[in-house]
Amino acid sequence: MKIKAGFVLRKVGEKVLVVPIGDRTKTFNGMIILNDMAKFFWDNLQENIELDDLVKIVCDNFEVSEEVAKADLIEFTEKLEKAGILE
Amino acid sequence: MVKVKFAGIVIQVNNKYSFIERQCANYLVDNDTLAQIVITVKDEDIEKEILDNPFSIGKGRAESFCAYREISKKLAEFDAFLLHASIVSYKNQGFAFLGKSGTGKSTHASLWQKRFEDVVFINDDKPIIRKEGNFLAYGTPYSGKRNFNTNTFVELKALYFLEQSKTNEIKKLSKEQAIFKLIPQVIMPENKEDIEKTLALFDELLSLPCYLLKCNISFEAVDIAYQTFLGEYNEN
Repeated sequence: MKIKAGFVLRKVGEKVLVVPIGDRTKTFNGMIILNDMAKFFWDNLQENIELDDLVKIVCDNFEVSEEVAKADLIEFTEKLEKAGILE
Repeated sequence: MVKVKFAGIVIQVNNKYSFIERQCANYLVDNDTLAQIVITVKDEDIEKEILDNPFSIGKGRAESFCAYREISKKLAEFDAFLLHASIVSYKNQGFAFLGKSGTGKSTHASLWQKRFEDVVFINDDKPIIRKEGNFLAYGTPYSGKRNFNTNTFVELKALYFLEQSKTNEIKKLSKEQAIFKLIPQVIMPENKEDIEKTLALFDELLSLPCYLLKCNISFEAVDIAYQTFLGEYNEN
């Protein structure tokens, strides 16, 4: 899975704002705010990646168990999927 | 062909209908002024505007609306953007009232005018904001139903995001909270570089005091809004 193209990111205060541009505005007409963790997930979903590989990367970089990382990632990617941003 | 000046930017519109000249009467410049933006509205955009508009409008008015929309997409280059807000000037301070249509921005702005002496409407609906050191709010002839606008500018001092409420309450917003409310109220440009530029402008703009103002229609709402700003302003 990976995040579709057509987004611009910008730091605003402590968080990161994501807005669609160009053709992407036709399928996603909103905006997203990412905290640090979500930004990390987002960056690692720019290239096609399997869930289990992503879990491993998260665990390598953060003090978190595999179960928690997997649960968080599933929740995150499901949200993206619902918004039509994941492919 | 008509030439206007909005926010210090000279714009040429190659118009087919004369409506826009009347709408922009207070903002015209000589035809030999050098244009920084040139706009030609396409027929199909005029047709679309007529279809999409909930009110029955003619081609001239539609062309004028479309021209303003096209202009707003080209403002990033000038460190500017279009904001859906009602902005007043009081004691050379600009106060912007934002929110979805129907929330009561115009009503609230009008209360400021009744409450205080010498409050001027910069623009009641779609002012242009331009960063020139500080953020300046400019009047334009596109200012909503009542068409309150003045061909002048004021330095923006605070942003109030309004919500209708039985009682008056005010809360300071963080940048992250404010950006969520701000973005639906701007017309974004279309290409990547301009969007990035505009987002950078928002980041700076939101360093100004941003408030969530839950309010009813009363002078108390105005007082709470202004006093809160003054209190914070005087602390700094």
